[in-house]
Amino acid sequence: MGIPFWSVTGLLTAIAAHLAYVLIAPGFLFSTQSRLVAATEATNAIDILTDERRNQLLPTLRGDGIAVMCNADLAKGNVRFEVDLPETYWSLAVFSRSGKQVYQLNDAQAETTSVAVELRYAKSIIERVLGASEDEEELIIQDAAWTVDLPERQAFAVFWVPLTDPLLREPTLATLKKGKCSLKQRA
Amino acid sequence: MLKLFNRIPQIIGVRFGVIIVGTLLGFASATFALSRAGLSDVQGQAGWQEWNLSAETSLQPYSLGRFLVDGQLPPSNAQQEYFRATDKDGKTLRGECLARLKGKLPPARWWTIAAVTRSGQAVSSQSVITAAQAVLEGDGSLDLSISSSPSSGNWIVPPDSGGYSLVVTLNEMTEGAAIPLPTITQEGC
Repeated sequence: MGIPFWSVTGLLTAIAAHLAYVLIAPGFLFSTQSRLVAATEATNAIDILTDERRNQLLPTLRGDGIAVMCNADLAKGNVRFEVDLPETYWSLAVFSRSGKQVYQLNDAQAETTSVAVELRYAKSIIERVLGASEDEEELIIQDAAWTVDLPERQAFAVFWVPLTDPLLREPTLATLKKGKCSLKQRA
Repeated sequence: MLKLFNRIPQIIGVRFGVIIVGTLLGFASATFALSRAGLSDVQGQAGWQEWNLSAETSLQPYSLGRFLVDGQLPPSNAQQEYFRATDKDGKTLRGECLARLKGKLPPARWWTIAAVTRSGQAVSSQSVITAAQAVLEGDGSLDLSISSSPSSGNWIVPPDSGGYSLVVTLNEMTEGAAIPLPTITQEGC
């Protein structure tokens, strides 16, 4: 076993380490760091992000605006995120815990200012075969115009409402604070 | 037999050494790639760059990873970000200079322009201008000053003296719209 063999071994090791880091580390590091930045007292609770936390977690949402987040834990069931929104441009983005976006919605698509989104964990085929019937699952999804299936049991859902006028901050904040992010109990 | 036995530590050392060095090189190249590999030049817009976040590109893991390793969520699919760190002559944008951004932006529901640090952070609210705040020219173009001294008209403050980047963020860009991005000049450096 000479130099060529060990050179190839070293190269293959470097490639494997490179791919492992690129594919695994970002999601893991994000899960760890976002837990600190999100810093909600509990999951499944509505959270109005301060400007500082918004800049840390969502740096591309710049300018005067309000970000409302639901840090959803789907381990015990579906999570319902409902918010009343102003009649201006807004957007909703749902990310898995590993940072991949799985859903988006805006005011023009929703055609309503009262939005209720049901977040649920998308079971694997095996889990569906061995678990509850689909009928039982569907009974749980009530009055939600939008249902989002997530590949992981934890997710971030974020409404972003940019403000067209600083004077709109307080009334918009008052409206958004009435929103809810809660676990849907199984019947 | 004794010679082979005496060479065992050397053999083990070489193997571990190769694996350790290979692993470290792999991690180092991955760290470097995460900070850069997802970047690409905007076609037809010299100097402007964007992150390759489309799921159809093989560079997406690098683009996404760049945000995730810092505990940040990437731009949503509804957002498109374009940024540049140089003026039209290729000179680095610097906080002690007066920079001017002139031109039209692609049609979008909402947009912001920010002067950000190298790590992508706008240091204050004065470093960002939004679609609601900007006053456009008669032809719909934008004339924006970026300087540490107050300036009339549309104006934002760059980070402290030193290099910075300008980021144009478009929300709900009109699909299929042409992407004319503004030009940037610097003076008074």
